Amino acid sequence: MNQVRVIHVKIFRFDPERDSSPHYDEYRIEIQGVMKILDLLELIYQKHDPSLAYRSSCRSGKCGVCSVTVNGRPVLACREDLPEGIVLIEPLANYPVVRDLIVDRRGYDQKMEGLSSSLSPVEDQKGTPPRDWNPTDFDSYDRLSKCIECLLCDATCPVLALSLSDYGGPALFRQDAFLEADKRLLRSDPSPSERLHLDDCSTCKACSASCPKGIEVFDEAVLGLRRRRSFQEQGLTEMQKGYLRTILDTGSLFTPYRVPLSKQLPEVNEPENMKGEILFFPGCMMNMRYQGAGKAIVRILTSLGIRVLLPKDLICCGGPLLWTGQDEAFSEVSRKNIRVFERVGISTLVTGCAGCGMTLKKGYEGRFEEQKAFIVYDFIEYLEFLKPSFGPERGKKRKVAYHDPCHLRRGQGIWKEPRKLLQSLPEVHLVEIEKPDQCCGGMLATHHRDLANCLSKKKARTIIDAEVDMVTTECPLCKDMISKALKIEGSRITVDTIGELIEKLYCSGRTIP
Amino acid sequence: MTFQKQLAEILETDVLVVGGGGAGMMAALEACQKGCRVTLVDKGIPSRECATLMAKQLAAAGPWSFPDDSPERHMEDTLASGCFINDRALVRVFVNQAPSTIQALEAMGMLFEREVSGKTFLSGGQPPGHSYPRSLTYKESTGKMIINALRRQSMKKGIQMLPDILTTRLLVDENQVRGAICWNIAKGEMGLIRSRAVVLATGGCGQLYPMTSNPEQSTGEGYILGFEAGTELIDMEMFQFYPVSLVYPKFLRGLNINFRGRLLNARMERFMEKVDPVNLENVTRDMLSQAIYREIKKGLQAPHGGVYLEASNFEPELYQKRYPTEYQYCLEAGIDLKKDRVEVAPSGHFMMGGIRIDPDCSTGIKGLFAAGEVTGGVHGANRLANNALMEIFVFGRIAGQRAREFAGEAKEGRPLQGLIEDGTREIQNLLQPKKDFIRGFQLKEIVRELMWNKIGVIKEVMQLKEGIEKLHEIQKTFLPRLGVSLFHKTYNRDMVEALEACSMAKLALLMAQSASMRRESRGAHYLEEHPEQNDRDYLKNVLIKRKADGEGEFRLAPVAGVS
Repeated sequence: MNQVRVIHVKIFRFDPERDSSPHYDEYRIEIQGVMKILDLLELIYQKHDPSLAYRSSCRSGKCGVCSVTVNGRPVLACREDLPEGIVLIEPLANYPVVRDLIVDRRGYDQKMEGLSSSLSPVEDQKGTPPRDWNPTDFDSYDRLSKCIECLLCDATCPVLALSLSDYGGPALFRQDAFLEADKRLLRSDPSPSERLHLDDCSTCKACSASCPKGIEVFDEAVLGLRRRRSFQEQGLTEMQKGYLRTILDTGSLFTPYRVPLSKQLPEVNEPENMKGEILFFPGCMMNMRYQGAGKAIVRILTSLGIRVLLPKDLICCGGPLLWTGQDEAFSEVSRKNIRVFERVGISTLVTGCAGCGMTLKKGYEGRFEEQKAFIVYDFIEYLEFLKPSFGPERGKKRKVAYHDPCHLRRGQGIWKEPRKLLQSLPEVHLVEIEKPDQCCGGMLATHHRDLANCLSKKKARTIIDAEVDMVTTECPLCKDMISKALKIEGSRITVDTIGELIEKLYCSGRTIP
Repeated sequence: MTFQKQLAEILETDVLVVGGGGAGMMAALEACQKGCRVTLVDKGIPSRECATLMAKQLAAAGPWSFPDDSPERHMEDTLASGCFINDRALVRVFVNQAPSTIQALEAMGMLFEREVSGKTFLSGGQPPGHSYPRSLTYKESTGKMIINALRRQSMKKGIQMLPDILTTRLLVDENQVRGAICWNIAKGEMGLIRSRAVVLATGGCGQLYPMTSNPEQSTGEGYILGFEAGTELIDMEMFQFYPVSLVYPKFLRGLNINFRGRLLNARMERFMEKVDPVNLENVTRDMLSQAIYREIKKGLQAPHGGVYLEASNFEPELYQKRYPTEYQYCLEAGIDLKKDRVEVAPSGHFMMGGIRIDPDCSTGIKGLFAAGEVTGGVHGANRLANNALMEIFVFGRIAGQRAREFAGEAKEGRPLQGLIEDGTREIQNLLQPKKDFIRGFQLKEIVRELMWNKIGVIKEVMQLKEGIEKLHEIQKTFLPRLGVSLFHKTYNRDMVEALEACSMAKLALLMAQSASMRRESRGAHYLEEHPEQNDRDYLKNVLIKRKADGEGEFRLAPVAGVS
């Protein structure tokens, strides 16, 4: 590490005095020893280019002013190691650039001013704590207090990237939730976030993943605020209310327009040599819209020796309710499903839908007293246990892009596994698209169709730019969004779930060994 | 063409607050009442680029304290720690108003940790020098939580808070402050702010040393703003080092380490065995700093210039709980504090001296008030732990209130033409293209090395003399050569560095000269030739006042506030 080495750095440059548009400057820098991005910027400013502008202050991850984008990822410059290969440094996204790596943070301040003005006076209460002080009341306050306002969450937010002037963004929602968590305050009703379109959040959890202080921005802030009574009464969109009614009435996101998968397939799907058995949770999308994706999973699993149970009375997992804070309705729905799990008596659940998987893993466990334990796997996770071997190569290699469903990658921490699986398929040449984990708008489609379409269009463009033959993903909702957007963009690239892809390649005419 | 025309921006306000840290934010809030217009300027982003964010605990004897504790006891501890050269009147105000300030902070939205009963919890323990535990916290982010609460209140009140404004000169006419000249970093223009009163709250000067826990912005221009405006400075030789800060890796340089272990020099000798065989490493901050500095100066330093710190009776769980960030940062850098030796050295931590103020934060110049680390007198020769974060809010409040009152009564003065011309000269000079110029960061490095070697943890008469000569030399040869590489306007970093370096060079000289006035050792000031405290001759303050020629006039004065 102490050897002198030369690194290739590319930095975004913009001087409003001289440049009509931004450009990139490249530097070859000799460095030695361990360095952070901020050390590199300082070195460039001092020894190579005195015109470089950037912010820095505490150099220890506490002040949050040195935020920049490195190789596409928002980071704190003082805490970020130099990546391998070319180092691309750009200003923080989603804020206007003033010069080079300095952005104008006034947008955030202005929204925050709006938030602060709604603060009811703590002065009235002389700052005294509530009479029945319970420290655990302040657990959420404590977790949310770790924020350093570095705005990395805002920079990573796909909805904020759409430049909607009245959208709050995760940093602001965090601030609002923090004030909300301060049990000493009397807050105005509804909370300011509702005016700032809390409902527009796409539930992609990119904010949580970006936080250098480990705040679960989505779960703690956005979801917390969505659970507020006032949001439940006034913040839900008409579409969300419609889904609530449909789910409660029919058990599905969709009013039935054809025979659901669970009624087409037998309740018990027997393999030849049984090695294990699971309960397959198809979810609304596979049960109704993309039945082929569900069938593929059942077929692959049975061919690998797994007995697949598909109870007919499973209903919607309740995810669209849980993640919009409709806890009561979610409890009702999840209780029905848990009864089915318990009746069938199988403790291993497999699903091929990222959204259902996240909901089952995060929302079901420990929801009710005396509830029996069960384990949920995503199909890809489960497939790893079965160690299927594919090949040899038969057809010609296809260039395949993989899209990370938000609720698989950030919701369940699964992103290496699908890549490993795809790379093990001899016919597949895996191509990484730009920002493969950027939200396609799927969840947003259940309440804001037009915003969701903006996101899926962006996703389609990155796929088209990558010049692949096809796309695969592990979520029928993502498949739905992306395939429609690709069609609108005039592309013929098809979207398959991983199950569908494997079935196409290996189940037609031969079985997986 | 007049200079007035060259000032791109002219702003008018009743109270101008210079500095957006804890003291400035508190002053702005207090001033912004009864229709008083307040403008707060900061050279970075207000509430973000300041030392307040790093502070972990604050001390006050209040309703939460032990039955025998009292402001009186807090005062005794503060004076003992300050070796009795603290300004008594300031300390009295400080300890008396600290508890009510704590309550005011909670009323503004701060929350201190509490016991289950709801009683404020003395979670900060009992740091050395305190007779009782009396420190309040919110986890390890007390300073941040307070300043955030203040900022929300400021926003609610609609206080104008301007980022990227570096104040370069206070305008004083007939001993009354009239406003300030500043450099608008974002636009690259000079500006004038007219105001009826000014609160200086610019913080400290840890950046004068090669290693510091202070943010990059702590370059001490507030002391020079005050000095050049004609205020007195007090005890500028009293600079505190934090004994054990990481030296390496570079990106963790200056990180304060909060546990004690065995200290070893390059020969692997536990040198504290010779210094204090009984207490070993468990001695006061200044003793430890001096011992480490001595080893380094003897040439017994480890490869990166510090000494080794090795864990002994180190409780990882406790440490991890109390200082999770430090622990985590070290782990990320591949350092396991449980078993790895790290290299440490003293780092620039806190300036006890500063602008001399009265208990109402006035400075002797009408309309000019000061609060926080930029002021001196409260802490004497050595600051009692946890008093810094408390001080800034107690005096920030007073300064804001007094500035508001003054602004309400201030009379209009004469036009400022001549003052402006003089006040903008420094900036104009920097902006002159020159051959063979020196950049701000380069001069900073020169000043820092000099400060560490000649006006360091242990001072020596001859070294001080040499240091002063060199600093004079720097003033003569380097300051006129200070310049900028490029003349682009927006966010010209060279310009900011040059302006800061200029203040740093001037401040360094005042600190060195101050030190040479005190031929004894007291608190943070240790003079090799006179290792003993000499109360007969030096139970005094060193005061500095600017002479007509711009040099400082130094005198020893009886300790302030002692009747």
